[in-house]
Amino acid sequence: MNGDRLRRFAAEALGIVVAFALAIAVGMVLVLLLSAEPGHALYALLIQPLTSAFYFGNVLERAIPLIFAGLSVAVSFQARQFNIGAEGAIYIGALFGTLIALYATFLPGPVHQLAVFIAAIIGGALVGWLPGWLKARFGANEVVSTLMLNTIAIKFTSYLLSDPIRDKSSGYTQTVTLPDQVLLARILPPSRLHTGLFIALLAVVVTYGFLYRTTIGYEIRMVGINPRFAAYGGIDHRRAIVLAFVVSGILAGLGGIVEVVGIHQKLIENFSPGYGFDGLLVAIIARLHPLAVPFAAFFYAYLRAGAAIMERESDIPQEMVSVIQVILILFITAEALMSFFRKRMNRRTEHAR
Amino acid sequence: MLADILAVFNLGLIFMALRVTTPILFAALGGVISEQAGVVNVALEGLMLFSALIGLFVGVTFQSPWLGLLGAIVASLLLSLVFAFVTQTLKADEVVVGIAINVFAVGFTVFLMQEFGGDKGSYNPAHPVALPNVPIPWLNGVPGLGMIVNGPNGQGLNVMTYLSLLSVPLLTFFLYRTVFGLRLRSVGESPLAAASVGIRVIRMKYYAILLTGIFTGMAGAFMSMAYVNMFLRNMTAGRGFIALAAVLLGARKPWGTFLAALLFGFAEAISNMAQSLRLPSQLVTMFPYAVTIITLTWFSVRDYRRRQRREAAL
Repeated sequence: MNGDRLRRFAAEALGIVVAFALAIAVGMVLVLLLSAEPGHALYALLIQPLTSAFYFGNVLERAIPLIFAGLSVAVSFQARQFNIGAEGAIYIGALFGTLIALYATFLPGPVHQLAVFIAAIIGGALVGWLPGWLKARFGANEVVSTLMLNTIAIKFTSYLLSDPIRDKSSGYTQTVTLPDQVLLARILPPSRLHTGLFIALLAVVVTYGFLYRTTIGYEIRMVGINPRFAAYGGIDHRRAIVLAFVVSGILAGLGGIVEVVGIHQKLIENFSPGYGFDGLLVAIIARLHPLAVPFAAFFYAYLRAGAAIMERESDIPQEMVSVIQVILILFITAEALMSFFRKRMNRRTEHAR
Repeated sequence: MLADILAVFNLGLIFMALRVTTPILFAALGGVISEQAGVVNVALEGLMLFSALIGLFVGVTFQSPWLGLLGAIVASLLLSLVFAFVTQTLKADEVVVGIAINVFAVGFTVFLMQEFGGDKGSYNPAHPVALPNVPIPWLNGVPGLGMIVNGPNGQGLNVMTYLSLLSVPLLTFFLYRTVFGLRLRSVGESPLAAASVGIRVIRMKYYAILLTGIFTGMAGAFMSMAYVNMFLRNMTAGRGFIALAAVLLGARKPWGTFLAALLFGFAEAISNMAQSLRLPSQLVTMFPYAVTIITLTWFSVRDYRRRQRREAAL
């Protein structure tokens, strides 16, 4: 039994490593074709993020929102709900938290900070709940409803930032800097890496515990694996679906506020460059397993950080990595490729017997 | 204020709505074909964006909007082929691959703009090309109709707008009156039954995805060579997703989808016009998205009730 699990894990890992290698190889070929100084560009892309504490801090700070977003997507996808609403929940979580940070200043420090996070959790839960309820109750397509909610959430945040909560003395659409007592401490200056990293890792463990060690987590996974069997076994699939959406929203909402109080220290219009969608790709790379999400997020952040350095130091724009990312996703999601590795692994173990 | 708001609702609004409906309608009709064959095609947005840039590149290079249109269609077909190969041959999840293609299209178009145009925000060619508008002057004599088809300045609707409207009956005929259309629908309805009478299911799904690609190519060409005559970063701005909503609202049928696309077109046109009324633009532009959720919910509730009534009757 244990050997079987190990073999399955090894096959999975081998498939993912090959996908990584192929994706990076395609990226290298692109750079070789397009750059006048390919060696320099590749060094900036692949090596430089690991060469100094500052660059490495950059990688880690980029990984934090991706961990939250990746967890968010993993939870709802485990219930086979194509919830693409992480982006909207990131904004509403950030917005709710910011409102408390700005206006509940009468609270003592630690309580104030806690209240900020709770507000973000409530905001994220609300944004997650609505499409989940519509899906579970009426069968309203969640892909469309979450995509629409994303845009509404982003525009609503922009609207509040355009006037009601805007820092009028600033030329940008953003709030004033939030009070010190709600901000997260920086841990690797001069990079912006902050203690939100630990919150993210805590979220990983909690999400894992929730999905794999609680009844409702089990129900969520069963609804995803086989809804009929789940119903036959007496699982209330509507409740499981709604809860999967709500937890997903909470994780994304937390990711939003952590980014605000950790990195920007104020709410800025369009502060998320599509973390919700990146989170989807991260979750897929992690094969929807919460414990694998931080590694996938780290890899993703490493590519992004490397790409930013490459753009500064060479003639290749950073958007080149979107090619690497998509190739990686296509390889990893291609069932046929993955089962090829599984079969080879099985054949080899049969020979060994 | 009220008079201002009422002034938005005039015949010019219909002209404007038809114009902004065009890319949504093209993409949505493409989506209908995929959906009818049982393929969930979330990649409409990315296909449209990618083909908008490539089409403009080709059109500007050869200084011909028609070759640009062809280029857009070919670009969309190529990316659709990738989608088809990965989802049908390699059996990857359609929603995930669709989203991946969208993320790819946003990044890759910016990459191409930077590499070949030197600017990340827009590609604004010195000699742009435009698909022509088709004014019909003799209709100006008909009260009302002249305003609708020729617009307030008499410039006429775009040729692509007429093509998109024409596509609705053509697609209906194709899907419901040809053998090929019947086979395509049978694959979506019941792949096992279709396979049992000798229809090659995977191949039919390939055809459906590629046909969708032709439509998203036309949608993209309209964006960069008619709606405006340049390419802007992420210029499709969610129209592919709205098109997807239109397909679902329209019950996956061409005429229903046409009506849904028109509804979204009107919502967008109203929000465009209302922006000039000093209403907060973010709130006004939220309108089409809110309409989508509300109508989606409404239709789902209706289907849900219908299902329940059927079950109660048994």
